[in-house]
Amino acid sequence: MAAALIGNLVAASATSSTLLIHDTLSKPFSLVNEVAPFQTILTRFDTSVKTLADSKVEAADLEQADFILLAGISGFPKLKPEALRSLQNLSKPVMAIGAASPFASRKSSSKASTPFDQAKLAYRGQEWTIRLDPFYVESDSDIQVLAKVSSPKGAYPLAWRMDNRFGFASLPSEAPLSMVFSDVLLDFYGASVQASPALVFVVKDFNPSCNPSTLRRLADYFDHLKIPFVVTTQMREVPPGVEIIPRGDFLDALRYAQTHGARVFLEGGDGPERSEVFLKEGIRILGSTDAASDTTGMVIGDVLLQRTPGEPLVPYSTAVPLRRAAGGWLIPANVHSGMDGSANDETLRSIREITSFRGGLAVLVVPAWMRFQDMLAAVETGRSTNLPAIDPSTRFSVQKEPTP
Amino acid sequence: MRLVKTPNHSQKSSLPAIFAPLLAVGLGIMSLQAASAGRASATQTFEVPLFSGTHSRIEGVLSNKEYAFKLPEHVRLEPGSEITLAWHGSPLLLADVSTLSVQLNDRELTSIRLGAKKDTMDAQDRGKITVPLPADALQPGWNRLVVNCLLQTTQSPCRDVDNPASWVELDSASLLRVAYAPTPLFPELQRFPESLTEPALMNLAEFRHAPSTEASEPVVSLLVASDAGEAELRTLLIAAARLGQTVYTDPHAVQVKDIATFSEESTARNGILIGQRSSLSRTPLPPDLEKAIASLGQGEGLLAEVIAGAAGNQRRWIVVCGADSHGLEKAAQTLGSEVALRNVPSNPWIVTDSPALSPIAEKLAQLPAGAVDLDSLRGGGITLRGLFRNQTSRNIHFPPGFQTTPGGYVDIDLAHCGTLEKTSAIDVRLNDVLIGSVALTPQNASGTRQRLLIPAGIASRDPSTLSVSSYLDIGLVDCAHRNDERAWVSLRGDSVVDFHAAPAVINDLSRLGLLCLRDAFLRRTAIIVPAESSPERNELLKNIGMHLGRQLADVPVLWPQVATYAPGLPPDPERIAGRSGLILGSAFQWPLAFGKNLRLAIEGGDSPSGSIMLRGEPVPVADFDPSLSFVQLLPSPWSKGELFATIGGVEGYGGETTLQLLTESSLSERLSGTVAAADASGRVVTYDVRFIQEVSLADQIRSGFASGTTPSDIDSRRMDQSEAGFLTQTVNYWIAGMAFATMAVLYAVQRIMVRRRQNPKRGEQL
Repeated sequence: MAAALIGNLVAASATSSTLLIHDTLSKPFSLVNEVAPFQTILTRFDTSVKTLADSKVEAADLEQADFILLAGISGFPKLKPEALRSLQNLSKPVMAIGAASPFASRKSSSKASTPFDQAKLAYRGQEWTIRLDPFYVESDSDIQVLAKVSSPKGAYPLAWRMDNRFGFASLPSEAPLSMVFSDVLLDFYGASVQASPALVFVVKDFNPSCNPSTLRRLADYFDHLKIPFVVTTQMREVPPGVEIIPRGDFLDALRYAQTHGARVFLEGGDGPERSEVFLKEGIRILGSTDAASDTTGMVIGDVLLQRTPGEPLVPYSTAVPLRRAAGGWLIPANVHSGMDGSANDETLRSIREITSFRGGLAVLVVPAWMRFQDMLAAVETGRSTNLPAIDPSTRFSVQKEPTP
Repeated sequence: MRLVKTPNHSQKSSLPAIFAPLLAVGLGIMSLQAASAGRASATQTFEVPLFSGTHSRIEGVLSNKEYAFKLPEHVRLEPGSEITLAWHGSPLLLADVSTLSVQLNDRELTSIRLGAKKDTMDAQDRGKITVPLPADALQPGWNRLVVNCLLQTTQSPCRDVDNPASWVELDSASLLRVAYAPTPLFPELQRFPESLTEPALMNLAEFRHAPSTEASEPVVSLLVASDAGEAELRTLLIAAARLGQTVYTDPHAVQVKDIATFSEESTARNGILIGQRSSLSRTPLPPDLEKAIASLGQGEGLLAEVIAGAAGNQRRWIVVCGADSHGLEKAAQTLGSEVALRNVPSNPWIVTDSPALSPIAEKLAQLPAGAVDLDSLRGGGITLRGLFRNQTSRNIHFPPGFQTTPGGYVDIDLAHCGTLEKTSAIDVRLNDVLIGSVALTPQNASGTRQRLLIPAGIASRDPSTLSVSSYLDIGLVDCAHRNDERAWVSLRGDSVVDFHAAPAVINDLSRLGLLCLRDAFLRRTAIIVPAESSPERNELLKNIGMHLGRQLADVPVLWPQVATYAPGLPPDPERIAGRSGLILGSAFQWPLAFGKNLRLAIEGGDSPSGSIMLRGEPVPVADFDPSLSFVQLLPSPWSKGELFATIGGVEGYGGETTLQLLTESSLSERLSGTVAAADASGRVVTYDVRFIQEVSLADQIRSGFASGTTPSDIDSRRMDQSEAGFLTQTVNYWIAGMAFATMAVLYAVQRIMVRRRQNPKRGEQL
């Protein structure tokens, strides 16, 4: 059943349910939560996710779910015999991941991980050199390979399909594995992506320590090309020891940018009081950059995960926008520009990688403190890909209830 | 601009070839996209001289010199820039001690030793270094290079600060070679005028003639119709004034041409196209813009910027247009207001109303109310550190159009290191005029408040500066060591400046330069020109505009006025009421501006007399040098309290001489009286019609410009006349005094006699 909705760009169908089964949360001798990335990646889809530890899975749970993800973090999940039997007999899509990946082959026996330090991952025309740990070698030749890796020891499938079963031979802890996994899930859910890859330009953290004429020039540039862009702003936290521009000049520049196609987002949370200050000055705040403090609306920023208990949240790379639990969208700030030529080469590579995925959205973040020429070079680098630049506020529109 | 033909548009046989590229570029979108697609941005270089002229001298044992240069914003600075310094120094510099250090934007670049080795053939120290610059050392906009020198000629401690042998000269091979890559242009009206003039910063080969002695090719064109009226000429003046505000743009870098040349000009340089809808109807413009112009309503103006040309060879053109003259002037005023341009809503921009001045902007043209302290100025309090001579300044709000009056003062809150020799002192200046000096003694070392009275008559300017220079001497020290902590003087932030000022008084030609600067925004400035079109008129108008703009570089609004006159058509009083300024034209044309009621001291005789009337005395035109330019100051017949100066030549506008009178201080500072004449040789004759003179105006001019007379002859003659005048005046005073005394004595005698006659008995009793 093709029940997944990707962004607002995929053919819609009834909301489905997905059962995520895992053995442990972390690998042996590690505190890093390996299940959290699955839960984050699944927010891309319009499906209700139920997460259960292997020992708690009943046959009825398997029956009720439309899709099943079986994740082996430290070993093959220890399902109850009747649950395992039921799982083996199911004809619905099952994705077996990591140590559970042998479930998606005819030689479904437990295997040991064979890590690779320098493996080449090839997927949809892109290639990455990555470290694979864990990696469970799949030797079944009757599978349909979706992604493969090659190492000096040979070429192996990373993701594959065998009838209703899908296999993923590693854990999608970080990019690019997470992005490949996310893309493979499209096949798993049978979803089709209608939206072509696109680009969003974000001028990040325009604050009173920045040069207002730089923003004005960039607004002129974007306006001339009829390219919408995002400016994130705040006037609360200014780097110490820098000269700040008068409030009027700062707000004038923001208004000018808004008139010339900028969508203004609040840097940090968009508490009503903070948005109100800008609104009084004629600047409309469309969202914020802080997913943690903003519970509704649209966020353009880093996807943050609690990977280790007690540690700060860490960014997690994704090539596509994610749905937020409370509604709205999280547009990932997934390409960060730099100041010199080599940085722009890196920017170009990142954009190409991200947009090689189905529904990939490269969000190019250009710091507002940079010199105009460097900002322009970064934007020109983005434009050189010939990807369409989109307005996130219309593509991912979020209707907020008016404040009474 | 490379011509880019598109199949669709090349069919239009009725339009010249330029139409195709302009259509193709539209508002520049296509070219920008092409540029983006190409991205073949090979690094190129341009050179920036560190100073104008052939050399720059740095002198004094401990000395430094600052060179500021501006880099354009429309290119990307690339790694690979370098700086070259070529110098020769005093042959007496000690080789082991003397040094030269270079700082760029507060980053140390390099240090080298100066001084000739004893056994070298060339006694004079010469050298050249090229320093590669770090990738981020340069920045678009202003950059600052400081050359610090220690120039010792003896091993003894650092005493002979003014030793004339302590010098080093940088020569003209000292320059900055900037590596850059072109970036695609896009319309940015809000950045006018820099956006148009910045190619002038690059000294590019395309704007240079082969022999360096010739003038460079213009960088900007101003195009107006040959039948330009007052609205077009005012737009030209405003545009030129705004271009002049960039300061670095030489007047020769801007040319005025006819709009018929747009096709060629738009391919060669940036520019401004000025005209009413009717005159632009045959000018090839992008279709969107043509449509916008065609749809302009009555009284509406239009401002637009188009990018013409293919990637790598793009030109930027601003179109200032109006449905009629009212609309055009609205657009012109918008172009003249930096404030209005900062809020450009769209491109093209339909201007329906004249831009208004906000109260905040208006305050910039008014005198500050009350005293201001240094803390309220940008930079705040002043501290000068280091041995011997140092100087710094603060910009202070004292807008053009005013002058100081008695009663103003500067209260300086002074402190210094206390260990200074008794030669140490500070000088305080307002707009380079000395206000006063303070000796730095142990008694005023720890916080003294001292009042310096501001003399009356100091004219304001833009920007006005309060500058402080110090001479700090701490006795015998080693100059090679840092002494910044040992020698310092501070003017604390609560030092107070209180101007007493009034509108500037102009009572003779010595203040000719202030005539057009009676208001910081030039709203009280009117230039009256003959209606008859001529390239010379337009060129002069442009030069005057640029000169005014150059003097008002920081002013956000420039709205001068232009009026025309012709036989039977005096200038429109509405345009010149309440304004002062200049009346351009020839001596034969000036009377047309005034009508028959006013006789000028110098004016052309009634045609076809062929004579110039000098205070009624006819002098044949043939007697005058063609390069002669006359200027005369007179009260405005249109508004009480306003003044105008007629300026021009015998038969034309006076050419370069008129321009020099208006723009070069070396010539204008020699003006006095109410009438003056100057020629291309720099000879200036002045005359004051308000006083009886020993020599007639005609004789004065005749003798002043006689062959063989040099400027110094005239100066010495003027000196002699002044001395003679002074002597005459002294004698007159003596005569008057003597006469008064005699009269007083006679009166006293007469009173005594009368009293005696009235009291004869008392006399007998006595």
